Amino acid sequence: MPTLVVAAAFNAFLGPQGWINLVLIKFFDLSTPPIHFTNTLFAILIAHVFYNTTIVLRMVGDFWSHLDPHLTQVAHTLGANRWYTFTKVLFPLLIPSIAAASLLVFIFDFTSFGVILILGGPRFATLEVEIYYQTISLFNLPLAATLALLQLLCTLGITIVYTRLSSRLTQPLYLKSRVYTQERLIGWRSRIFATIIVSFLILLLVTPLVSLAVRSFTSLGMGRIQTGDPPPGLTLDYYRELSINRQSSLFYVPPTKAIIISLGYAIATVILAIALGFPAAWALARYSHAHINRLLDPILMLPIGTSAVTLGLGFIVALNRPPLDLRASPWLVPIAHTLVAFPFVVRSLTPALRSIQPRLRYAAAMLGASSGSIVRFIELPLVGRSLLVAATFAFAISLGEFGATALIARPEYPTVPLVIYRYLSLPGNLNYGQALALSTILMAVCAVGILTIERFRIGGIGEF
Amino acid sequence: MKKQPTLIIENIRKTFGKKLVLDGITFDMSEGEVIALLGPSGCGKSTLLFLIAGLEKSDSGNVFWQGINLDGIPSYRRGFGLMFQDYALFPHMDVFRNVAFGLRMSGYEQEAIRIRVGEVLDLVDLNGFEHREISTLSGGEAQRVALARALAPRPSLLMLDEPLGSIDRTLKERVLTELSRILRQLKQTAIYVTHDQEEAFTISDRVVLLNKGQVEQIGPPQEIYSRPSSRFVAEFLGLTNLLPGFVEEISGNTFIATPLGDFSFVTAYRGNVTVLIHPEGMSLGSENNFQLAGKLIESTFRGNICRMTVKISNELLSFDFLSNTALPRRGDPIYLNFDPDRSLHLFPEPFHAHNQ
Repeated sequence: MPTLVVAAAFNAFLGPQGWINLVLIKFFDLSTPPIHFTNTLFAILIAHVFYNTTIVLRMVGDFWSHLDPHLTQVAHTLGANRWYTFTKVLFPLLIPSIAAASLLVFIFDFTSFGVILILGGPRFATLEVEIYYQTISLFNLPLAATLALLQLLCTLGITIVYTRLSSRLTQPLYLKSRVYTQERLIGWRSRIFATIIVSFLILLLVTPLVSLAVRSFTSLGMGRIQTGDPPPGLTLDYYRELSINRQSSLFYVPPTKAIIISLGYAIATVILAIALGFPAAWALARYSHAHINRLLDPILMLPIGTSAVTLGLGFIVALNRPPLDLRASPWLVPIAHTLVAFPFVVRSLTPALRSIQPRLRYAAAMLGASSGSIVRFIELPLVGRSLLVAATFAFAISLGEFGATALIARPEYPTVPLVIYRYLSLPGNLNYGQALALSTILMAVCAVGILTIERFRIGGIGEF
Repeated sequence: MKKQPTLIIENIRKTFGKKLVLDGITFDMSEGEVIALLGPSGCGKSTLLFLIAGLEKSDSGNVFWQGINLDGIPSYRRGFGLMFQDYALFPHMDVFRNVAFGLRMSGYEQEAIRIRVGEVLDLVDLNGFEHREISTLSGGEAQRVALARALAPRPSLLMLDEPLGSIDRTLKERVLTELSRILRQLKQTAIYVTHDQEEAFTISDRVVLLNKGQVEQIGPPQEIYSRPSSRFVAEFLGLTNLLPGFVEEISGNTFIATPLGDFSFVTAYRGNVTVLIHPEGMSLGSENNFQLAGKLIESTFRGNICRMTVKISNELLSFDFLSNTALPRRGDPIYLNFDPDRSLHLFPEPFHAHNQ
């Protein structure tokens, strides 16, 4: 989910004009919203929890489901009860994956931008937001660059620790993620685990999103100060208003155009990221024992640790003079998005490529397949699913990317998150409603896009 | 029978880091021959196979195939087939597409592929398995698919790397006979890698016995079994009746002195030797007619034979007898007869109580 949508969703749920507050105002006839959610640390915190629960769930849960069930069975036969088995056998094995997930979450939140910008307010400006302000509002590039460098060093250090940890993580996985055993290992254990978490997640994840969607269709008719605020009740006015340039703003962009721009960028990003990411992942997986890879791995991960805003800043500083004057190029944004998405693509492809038994390649070679044919007939189909995951990542990242885009996108070609941000930063009920409406649209576009990618079948993956 | 060798392995050396894996391997094989590469694990036999296949590169030495040096020819151009220990079936393809893979790679027509796949599936008795998924196959079925896949493009040389490694014992014997039949029927030149002497003996025309990266002995199975060239070979084959001996020549006849007694024995060796007594080399005698007398310590029933551990002059020796004869009981005295020239075998190396 795009950061902006999440931020807007929490706003719609818990913000000053959010559901909870509106209900409370109505019941107790208050004049001001009783819950101060926005501009609090708690707001930032809960939005980030929203984001990262899934990351932790994916990383730890995935690892967990690949653990040999015999381990726990052996522990049981040796007289260990459930609790003992968990604390003494399972948990120690999970520590590296938990640590890796924690680091990743740390990196993400360290460089988090959109959520803080919207939910945090000036009091909670982080390094990231500060870089943005210095660049955009004050145009103090040297200070912004210094801050960015500082941040880069921090994240680089953490990223190196992270890659070390996660490569240790893939060691035992390498032994078990054989395609044969993979499906069997995902057993009832992980399913029960999943059900518990899922019900918790529904509470945390779905409620804000649903309230966002519902709120965007509802007008409360409060404070009709501004002209054109629709009457109370269910309404489509916010959506209608989107395509009307009421203030005849110079930078006005109809939502359809923003959506088309966003989709175009996203598709370009998917193509670029896969085209660059697959060879990189292939090299990483193929020559995993080569010394160069120890160096290459953190370097390929660097964009994950580099904040989006820093990336945008870097683009502004680096690409503003010939021979590489790309600032005006429509490719600038997709290239930036590709860089942001690249580590995710590499990260989802490398383990899959690594888990292909070398013997399958040998077997194909013995049957007369050249290296090209091996890639085409064996490796690509086998990593097909991961390729889809990678494409989905790239797509979603591009659609939701805000930090870098905010810095480098040209005002006349804004992406959807940029437009949402514009509405959110303008006062008034109408603008707020429009922001929510557009967020809802972005959410829908995202979902549709991801579902479409999932529909694609490459080679024989449909048979898995 | 004397044909021009089709495959010549010449002085192959291979190291992994500092470890010497293959040290001057030399042998050759003729067309239609089945060779077993036999040896304990870590002797380098799989590495040698991968080298011939072109999946590994040797440090020095040559491999010639029909007079052509294979150096620099990638594995996918050699036209050899290799069946892997764990089968390495492509998990994303069904049986048909697995078997058809090699044919597709060599550019066969759709129809020709269909016919050929049908043929080889026939051969391995897997008709109707075309559209089964790999994950649904049993071990034995997967093994036959792997064989069919290796055979489909008609490889000029078929290599099998421990193909029965993961098959249980009862099934093994049947599969082995079946495999042997298929190889003979196709007159397939083949190299069979195994650590199991039974497999090697059943399948091969000749056995190449490897130890620590060197060729220990080459010969037909019978010869290897009855006349092992060294104590290592004997012990590897499970021949454990080893004794110190001393050969002397007295007025034109050679005699061998052993802890069991002195026997007349024809040999060219002189001096200190190691003596091997074949386990099936003894027949039961009686109180009045025997060459060796001892005490039966242990008797284990093994189906058609009984293995008897006998103590003779403080030496513990094992002998096999047919189970359907009247055998003495544990603790009883036992009387034995044998023909030294047939049951004894000498190595020209002084005896050590334990092999180094």
